[in-house]
Parts: sequence; C-alpha cells; structure tokens
Amino acid sequence: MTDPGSGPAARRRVTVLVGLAAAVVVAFVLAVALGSTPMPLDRAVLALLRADAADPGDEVIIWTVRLPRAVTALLAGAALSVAGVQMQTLFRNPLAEPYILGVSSGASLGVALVVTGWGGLAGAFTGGIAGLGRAGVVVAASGGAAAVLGLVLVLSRRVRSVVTLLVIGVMVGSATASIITLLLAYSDAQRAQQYLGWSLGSYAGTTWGDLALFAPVCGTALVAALAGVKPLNALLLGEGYARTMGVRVRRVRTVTLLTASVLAGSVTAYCGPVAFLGLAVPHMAKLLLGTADHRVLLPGAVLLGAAVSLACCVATQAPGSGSVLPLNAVTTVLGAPVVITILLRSRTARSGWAV
Amino acid sequence: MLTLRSLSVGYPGRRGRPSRRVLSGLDAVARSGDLTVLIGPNGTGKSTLLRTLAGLQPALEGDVLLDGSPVTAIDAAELARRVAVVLTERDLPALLTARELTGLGRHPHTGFTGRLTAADHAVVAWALDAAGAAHLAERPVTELSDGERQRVLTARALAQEPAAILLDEPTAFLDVPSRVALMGLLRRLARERSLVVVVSTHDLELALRIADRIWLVDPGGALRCGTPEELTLDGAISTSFDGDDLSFDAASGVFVLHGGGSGTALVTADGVRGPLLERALTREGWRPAAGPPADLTVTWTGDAYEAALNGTTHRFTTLAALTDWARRPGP
Repeated sequence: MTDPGSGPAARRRVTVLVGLAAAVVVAFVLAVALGSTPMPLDRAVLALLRADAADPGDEVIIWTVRLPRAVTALLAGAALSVAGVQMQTLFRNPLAEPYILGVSSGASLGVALVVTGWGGLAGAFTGGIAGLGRAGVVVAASGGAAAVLGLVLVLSRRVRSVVTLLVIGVMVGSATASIITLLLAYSDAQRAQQYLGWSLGSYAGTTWGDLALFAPVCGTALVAALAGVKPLNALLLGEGYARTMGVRVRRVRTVTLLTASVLAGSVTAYCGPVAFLGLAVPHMAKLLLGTADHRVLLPGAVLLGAAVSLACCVATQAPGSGSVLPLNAVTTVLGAPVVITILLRSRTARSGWAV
Repeated sequence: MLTLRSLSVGYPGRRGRPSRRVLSGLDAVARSGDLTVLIGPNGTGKSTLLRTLAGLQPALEGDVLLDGSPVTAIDAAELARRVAVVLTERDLPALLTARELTGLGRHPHTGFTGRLTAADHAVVAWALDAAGAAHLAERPVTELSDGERQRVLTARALAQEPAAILLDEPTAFLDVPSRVALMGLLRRLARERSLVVVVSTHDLELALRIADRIWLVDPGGALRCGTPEELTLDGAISTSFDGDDLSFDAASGVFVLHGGGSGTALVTADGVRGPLLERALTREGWRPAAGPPADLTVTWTGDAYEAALNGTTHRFTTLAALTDWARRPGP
C-alpha cells in the first residue's frame, strides 16, 4: 500500500478523513439541536450542558430523547457501514450488504413471531402481547438474528465457495420473509400494523438503558472489524490468493461473518431493519477515498456511515412539522438519488468494478 | 529446490464416494535457477498439480518437498514467505493501483495491521522494477492491459520474496510478443535470484524454446522430465501431442499440419525466400524435398517464379499467384 502521508493520493485520503470527522461532529450537533419540538440552539446548548439557567423541559428533551437518539444513529450508521464493507469484500460482490445473509430477516421473524402472538408459546415474557414491551422486541430480534447467524455459520463450514454461501444466504432470507408474510396474513390488523411499524426502522426508541448494552456490543464488534483489515486486504484478490499469502481463509471468513452479523444484528434489534446504509455507504466511502485499501476504507466507512446516519436521523424529524417520518423511507428516498449521482459521476463506477 | 516424491494429486473422496486421482506416481525436481515449464494436453491435470504444489489442495499421496521439508509440515505464514503463486483468476479489484496490489504481496512479512515499512516499500519498488512494471506503479490495475496485469501479478508474487514462484497459465490471453517477454522475464528472474520457477502453459513451441527443464504430463498421466531437446529426441513430445492433422517437427521445433498429399517439391531460391517458399508450398499440401528428384520444382529467377510440374513450366510474377496455383495445380 502507498506510504501514508506522502503523495497526492495519500494527502487526499487524509483530507477526506478529516472532512468526514468534521461532518460527523456537525451532524451530531444538528441531531441534538433539531427535533420535532422547536428549540433555539442556545437553549439546546444550555440544556445539553445542564447549566443552571437551562429550562428543565429542554433538559428532559435533550437528555432523554435527542441524545440517546443521536448516539444510536451514530453507532448504527457506523456499524452497518463497516459490516457492509466486510460483506462486499468477503463476497467480492458490490450488491452484498450486512443483511444479505438473512440476519435482518431472522430478526424480523423473531419480532413477527412475538408480535403476532406465536412467540407466546415459547416464553412467559410475551404474556401481555397486546402491550408488547421494548425488551420483548429486542430479545425477539436478537434471538432471530442469532438463529439465522448460527445457521449461516454452520452452513459456511460446509460450503467451499463464497458464491454458493451467498446464494444460500439469500435463500434463507427469502424463506424467512415468506414465513413472516404468512404469519402476518393470519394475524389481526392491529398486530400486523405493530410489526410494520417496527420494520420501518427507528432510532427514536432507544433509551440509555438500551444503549448500556447496545453501545458496548456495537463498539466491541467495530473494534474487532477494524482489527481485521489485514486479512480483508488479502481477500481483495480472492480466497485463492489470500490462502497463498498465508491467510487462514476459513477462520477469517467465520470471524468476518460473525462480526458483520453481530453489528447488523444488534442494530436490527434496537432500531429495526435499517435499510440502505449498509449497501450505499461502502460504495460512497470507496469512491470518496479512492481506494480499496481497508486500512483507510474501514475508518472512512465508520465516519461516513455515522455522518449519513445522523443526517437521516435529522431528516426524519421533519423540522417544524411536529411529525416523525419513518427512518427507512428517509434513508432510501433521500439516499438513492445521492448514490446514483455519485456512481454516474465516477469513472471507476461507470466502467464497473468487482468489489 | 522443489521435489515431487511419489506424488498423487486429485480430489479426495467425500461421503463414501471414492477419491478422484488426476495424476499419480509423480517424481520430479525443479531446481533453483531453472525455468521449469509444465506442459501437457488439455485436461491432463496441470492446474491440479500446480494447486497441489502451492498447498491450495492436499496431496492424495506422496510429498511435495521444499528444500527437503514437506510443504504440508510448513506453517501457512512461513510457506507464504517461501512460495508465491500467480493464479488464473483474472478479475482484479477496482480502486487499487499497481503499487498497492504489489504491496499486498508483503502480507506474510508485515505485522498485525499490515502497515508497510520503508523496507517493505523498497521491496515493492524492486519487485515492480524486476517485473518490468515500474512505469505502471501508480495506475489503477483495472485499467491495465492483460500483459500489463500479468506483469503486476508477477511483481506481487516477487514482493513475497519467495524461494519458489508457481504460475498457472500466465501467458494465456497474451499476444505473442507479451508471451515471449513474460517467459523471458521469468527465466531471467530464475537465473538472477536463484528462484525455483514453475510455469504451466499451453504455448508448447515457446515452452520448448525457452524452458531449462520441461515437465510433460503425457496423456497416460505420467510426468516426463528433461530438457526440451531430450524430450523431443526420445519422442515424448510427439507421442503426447501428435494428432491426425498435426505433428511435431523436431528439427524446427514447431507443429506442422498434415495434408501433404500433393507430392514433393524442390525449391531453388536465394536468401530467406527459399524457406518462405517452402512454407507456402507446405501450407498448400506439398512436402519439401532435400534434393532431386521431386514432383514439383520451383525456381526464383530473380524476377519471377518458375514452377515445373509433369514436364510443363508455369511462370508467376507474384508469390500469391504461385501459391494459388500450387493449391490446385492445373494448366
């Protein structure tokens, strides 16, 4: 890899990374300052600092609503983007994304089971289904994601080719989605609506209590992912070359699938299946940084993912209207045109690329 | 030195199905400093053998020894510091320059993060230079031609600083000058760095001209080893490759198409015109004769070709006219 810190390409990368870090800070401030309840910036800052002059109402809004929401958005964006880069490199496929192996379908199935009442057979905590608790959803989503992850990991031990594994993952995802459709078809409209609401994704539901678990899990998986840059770089040339360079391909595959799925699964458990970020941010990061070197790309994906996710979080608040837009609608409707524009403007992307 | 000892390669049996042996009982040596070229008809298992040598698949029986120790006993990272491979996989990642791709070859030598030290950068620069790819260093690999890509992939293998390099069909998809240049490069590297270089190729004529040692997989699944001349003399090349329409001409080292049913031809012409006339007549079905008598005699008079057949002499002012007539000789 090019010596970091020398040459125009390296300088550009440093500039882009610094710019992205600044963007994260700005987006975080906006996510805290803006919300469905209008609040001037100076009052928001006072409330954030818990100054004596702060309005107690503002303090509650900032500290119990906006701050956890912004932290969630930051973590979720970074997690999904890093998992997206991992999946795209592992499968050497630009369409790969964190959910491609069915992790979100598994989480969705778990939630659908609980919401529609079938999960009641399994555990007492779902007894009062109608007023399904936050904990119930998180546990159900984690359980579903973990079940699919386990299945995929077992299958990956038996399958040599990553392409076959990819197809199997898509099959598992489709099968799970069909079961969810069936469940919803035979449940009453209110419960189906409840599931639908969850599946639209939201950063708003997380409390500090949730973050006490979500943040360490997500943080640990992010560190694990960043520690795996060297074998990921070797995998750029395919598994055959990686093996001849001394990479233990099976182990790297398992570890990468595990970290990517924990990242995606934990986000899904707390925020629902957040669409689009995991697919789009890796492409945007690659083109912005102009390199496939994971030592630059993964930190770039963390920053860009966090910034984009925070921007989407701000956009869902539809400032002034007092209503909250569904997260997935925002990420996709606002994001898709941006990504298509970037792709069309890039020579590399127009001529097609393998990873 | 890379040694094959009673080696059997193929695919192990799974779930009760028997293993599939592709080649068995192989004994051979590839010496340091030699360009060893692996040839054989399609589908005889050249790639399987190379993949086994590279440690990408296990041997069914026997051993591959690298400087006396079995490759299976060498730790994966250590093996990667001693054996580098150029595979047939051709799709390269975008957004990677030739220098960065070559830098990937430092993988077995770098630390936990894969950061390249100044010494690593020096090796990368040397590898690019040695492979004749220094001028491509800052270009994205996806924008390179096939020949340039092959040079960069060779540089990546060199950057591993191995004792042995194995290349699977590196000359496929290259034009003739690039093939010759690449093979020449490999031979030079073998000499200068005392490397074991094993290359598989379909380009038989080039292999026989440029190889120090040939490993020939014959249709019977045996491995014949020797210099190109030895294998030509003992008929191993002819036995393996001759077909109904094709035979190997030992003296010229090229394959000739059969169909010489028209008779013998004696050519009298000065300089390079003589062999060229013979080649044209051979293509039209005549067999060159060493001396009289011959069915057809062709003489270059200085301004025209005179062809004598069955007592009749024909005059042609161009080579094309003579060639056309020679295909279907008539009045």
